[in-house]
Amino acid sequence: MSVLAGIVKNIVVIIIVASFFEIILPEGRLKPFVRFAVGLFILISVLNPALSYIFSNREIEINMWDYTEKYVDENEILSKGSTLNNEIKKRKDAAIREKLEGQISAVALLFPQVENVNTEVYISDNGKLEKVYMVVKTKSRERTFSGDKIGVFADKGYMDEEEQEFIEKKIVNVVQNLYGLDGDYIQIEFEGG
Amino acid sequence: MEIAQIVGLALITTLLLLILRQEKPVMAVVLSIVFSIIIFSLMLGKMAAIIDVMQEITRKAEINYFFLGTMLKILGVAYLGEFAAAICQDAGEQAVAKKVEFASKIIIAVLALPIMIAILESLMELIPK
Repeated sequence: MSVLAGIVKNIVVIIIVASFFEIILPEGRLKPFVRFAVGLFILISVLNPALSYIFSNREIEINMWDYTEKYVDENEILSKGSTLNNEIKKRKDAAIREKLEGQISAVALLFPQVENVNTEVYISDNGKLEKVYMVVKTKSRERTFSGDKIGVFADKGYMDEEEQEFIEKKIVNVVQNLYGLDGDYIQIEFEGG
Repeated sequence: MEIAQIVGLALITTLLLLILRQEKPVMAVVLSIVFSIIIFSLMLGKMAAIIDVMQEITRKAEINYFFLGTMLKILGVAYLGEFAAAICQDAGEQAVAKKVEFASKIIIAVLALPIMIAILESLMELIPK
């Protein structure tokens, strides 16, 4: 019943629209042509819901017959291409950065004194590695207490500066050799040191 | 009252055209074209309102907008063709007027073609093989 009601409603609307078109048709030799087109419009508008009802949810396909020429501006295409290119570059850079950070962290973790590493790399616009910033967390040493030597600030379990410098030099050396980066562009900080 | 303005403008243009046709026929044609453009631009806003209402009605009736869009294009082509043909006829160029009408007819036929094909395809599907 609701389908029928929908079809009737559609037909009423189509008749109103078509009648309106008939009124505003231009007088002259073109009138029969426009009337023919209006007739087609009425026919397809009535046929469409009826066919949809018969062939469950079928819609008349007209897109492939749409002959309208689409004017596409050359600048628009170029701008879209450039945007796409930038997006691809951004994603590629992000992926490379992520991989490099992982690699450098993995290399640093090979040192037995290193417990955890957070690496940040900076890549230039032309894809060249510019700077490496690392935060290294060293393994805390086991504290050995001799009964009579317990001081308040005696030993926190962290490495001293000499040891840190030694590890830093080694990491810098490895990263330098692996990625051909100048030592000045490798910055290492020790967490909690 | 817009109609009063249009009527006034039409009367003045007609008087001027009567005089100009005797003295300077070329200027008469120019005046005729200018008058057509003025009337067309005055009616543009109203036409937009009509199109909006039509769009709203077809949207509510869930009729594919492609059909209405095609109809509006056909109407536009017909009106422009008629205007141009009338101007050409006024200038005494019957042959050019005929060519404009011919072009309008072809464009209307091309615009109506997708709807016609769609109807034919649907009818073909209805007929059992």
